[in-house]
Amino acid sequence: MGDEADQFKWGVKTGVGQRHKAVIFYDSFTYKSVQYSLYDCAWFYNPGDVETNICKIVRLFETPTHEKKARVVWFFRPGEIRRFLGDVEPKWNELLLASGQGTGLSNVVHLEAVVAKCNVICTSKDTRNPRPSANELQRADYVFYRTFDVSKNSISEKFADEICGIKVELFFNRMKGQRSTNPPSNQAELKKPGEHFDMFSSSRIELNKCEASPSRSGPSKKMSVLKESDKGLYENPKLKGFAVESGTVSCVQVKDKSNVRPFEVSLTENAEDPRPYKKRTILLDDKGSISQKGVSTKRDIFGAEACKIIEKAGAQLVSREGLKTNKQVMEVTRRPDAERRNWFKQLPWEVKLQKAQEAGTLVLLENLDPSFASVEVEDLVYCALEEKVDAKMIQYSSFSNPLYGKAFVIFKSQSAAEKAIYELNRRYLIIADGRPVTGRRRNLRVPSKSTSFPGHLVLDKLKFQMQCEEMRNAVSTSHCSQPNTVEYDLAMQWRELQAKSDLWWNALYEFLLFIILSHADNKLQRLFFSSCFNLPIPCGTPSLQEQRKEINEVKSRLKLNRNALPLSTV
Amino acid sequence: MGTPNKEEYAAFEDKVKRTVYIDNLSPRVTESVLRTALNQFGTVVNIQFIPNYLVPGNIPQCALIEMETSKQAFSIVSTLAQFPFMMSGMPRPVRARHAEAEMFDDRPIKPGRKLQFRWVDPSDPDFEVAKKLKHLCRKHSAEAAFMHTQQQKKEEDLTKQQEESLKQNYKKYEMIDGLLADGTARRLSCCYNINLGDD
Repeated sequence: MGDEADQFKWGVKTGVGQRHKAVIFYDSFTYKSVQYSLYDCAWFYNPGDVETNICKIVRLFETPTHEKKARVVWFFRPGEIRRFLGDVEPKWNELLLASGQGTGLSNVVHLEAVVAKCNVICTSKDTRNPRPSANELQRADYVFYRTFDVSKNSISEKFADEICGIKVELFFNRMKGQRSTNPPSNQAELKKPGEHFDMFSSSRIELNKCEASPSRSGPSKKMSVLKESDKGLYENPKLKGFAVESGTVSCVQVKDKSNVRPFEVSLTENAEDPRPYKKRTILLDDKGSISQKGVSTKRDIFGAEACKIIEKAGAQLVSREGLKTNKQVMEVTRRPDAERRNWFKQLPWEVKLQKAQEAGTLVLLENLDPSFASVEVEDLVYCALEEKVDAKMIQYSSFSNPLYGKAFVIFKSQSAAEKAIYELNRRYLIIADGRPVTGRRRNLRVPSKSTSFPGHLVLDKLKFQMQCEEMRNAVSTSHCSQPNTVEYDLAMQWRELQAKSDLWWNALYEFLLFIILSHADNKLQRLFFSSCFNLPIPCGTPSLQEQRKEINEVKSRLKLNRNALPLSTV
Repeated sequence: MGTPNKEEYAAFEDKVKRTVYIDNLSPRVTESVLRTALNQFGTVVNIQFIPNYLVPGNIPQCALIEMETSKQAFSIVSTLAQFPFMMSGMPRPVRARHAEAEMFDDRPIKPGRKLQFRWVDPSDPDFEVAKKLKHLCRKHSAEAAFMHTQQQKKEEDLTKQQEESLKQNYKKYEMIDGLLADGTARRLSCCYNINLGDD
């Protein structure tokens, strides 16, 4: 806990509660060395949920009992309001801002539940919304341009003037160059609490960044002063990255030296232009787009460009391309949030499985490579079916077939699970070694109620006796049995059965393997084992002899000879 | 990605070597029973029961026992192969063998492996083959399930048979006990002139 306390730091105090003076409001906080300000978007996680939630922080405060809390306005994932979508087809990275009144609009959450900053860009054509640049759109985690009214359950492109009592402007993108007219001597004032503090900070970053740009010549003194005073605040590179992302200057991102020049122009204008923000913003943006060759100066085309970029970003997922070109062999890439997967303490897998079965989100994938790791299955499903899932390989034991790997996969929703099963039935997902992966629902085994275990004998008379006397403080009854007992003889019979069972399982698996390989009149199938077990890929139809050899080789790799026990005692 | 991944996998492989797989365990066996039973071979580091989600029926449990050194693991395997080892019941002995990587559900990715996949549409020439293979997969799992029921039947048969013979044995012992108690044995020994005491 001490660690956690160290990791958390409040920003500047902005005031106290009107009713309860002990409630203290803040403008920002730093948690795990990431600074979050008011009106930042962030991921929050509620233990036990399948997904993180995305929201906008609108209040930060500490309660009299020193609980650190935030009021947040939620963004909805389209999947969460699936029932109300109607014929609206959301983009893959689209979110919907909560609006109206009622539950689901906003909540007070614990700040410790924060996961990371989230870059959400508003693409609304609303006049109050500063248009995002192409670069920003490309870097955005999510976009939104519609609201979802939680009381009417309706989707709208219009934004009310206030959402949850907060001016809607604060939900839109941040103004470009806002407050950058402030002379640096105002530093003290800057630190003064205010609603616009965070916006202001982003614009400062902007200046910072331009300071760093190599081709910048003739900087105004003001800015360098500003930069220096801010240095300390932004030493954290991660924070800097974030802030720049949520900051607003498109041209800063331009790497080409020649393109940086117009930016300077706009920047100087920025700093000295007395015109109102909005107008200036447009000016800045226009300049920016002019400077970037090939980007049209017209606003609406710019918007179209933005859409294209969003689509392109979607297509960056390997799988997308793969879905269109079916012949192509694709490589499974790591899921982008691979490192994020271990952030939270997960519920025990068994509990999750039970829950998933009740919710209908549980699918059993069969015919996987037995040597797959659970993470690889997750990656595979992500790349092939574009679903983020929880997966676990079924552990190999005496009851599993060594030829086929199986895994339980928990999907986010029932429809996703159904879609995946449908997709796996309509066409075949072939993994590298030529296996078609199958998916189906399987119910979990209901643990058998019977207390007896075949092979463990208890004498009826002794049973009663034992319960009375010793059973209560009996410890463990494990022992090696000696050859001069009745028990030993009986145990030998069991050994015999166990040895026999090994033999018949081996025989079965060998037979099954033979069947699989006897179908091997095709490259696909011969791939089945060759690539998996690093055998040379045979060309042409293999003769029976070759097949035998192949089987033996595969068998030795599969460790089919289960007789690990020396059978001398049998 | 490179080296830490490899290190992780090497650590995992080491863990596999130190681990023993035990099956034919009664459902009544708990972690503490296992721990006390196997602590005589060395220090038990970790115990994990392999959950069984799919195979129906009253089937034995399996467990992975991680020991401190691979030598200890080896001694468990060899001892349990030599002597029938009873745990929480008699006379069905448990079995031990060395664990394999596939038995762990948290196994890390094998370093250097790249997964590939492709979709085969109905128009694809490979479609038929894939269909056949898929069918085989289903069929084979059905066959394995059948084998399981057969095996369970065999086990139950053996149990019944042993129960019978045990009952007979018990009866015999009880009879002898009774004869000794009510003096019949003594009378008979006098009759046949056999000295009971020294035997």
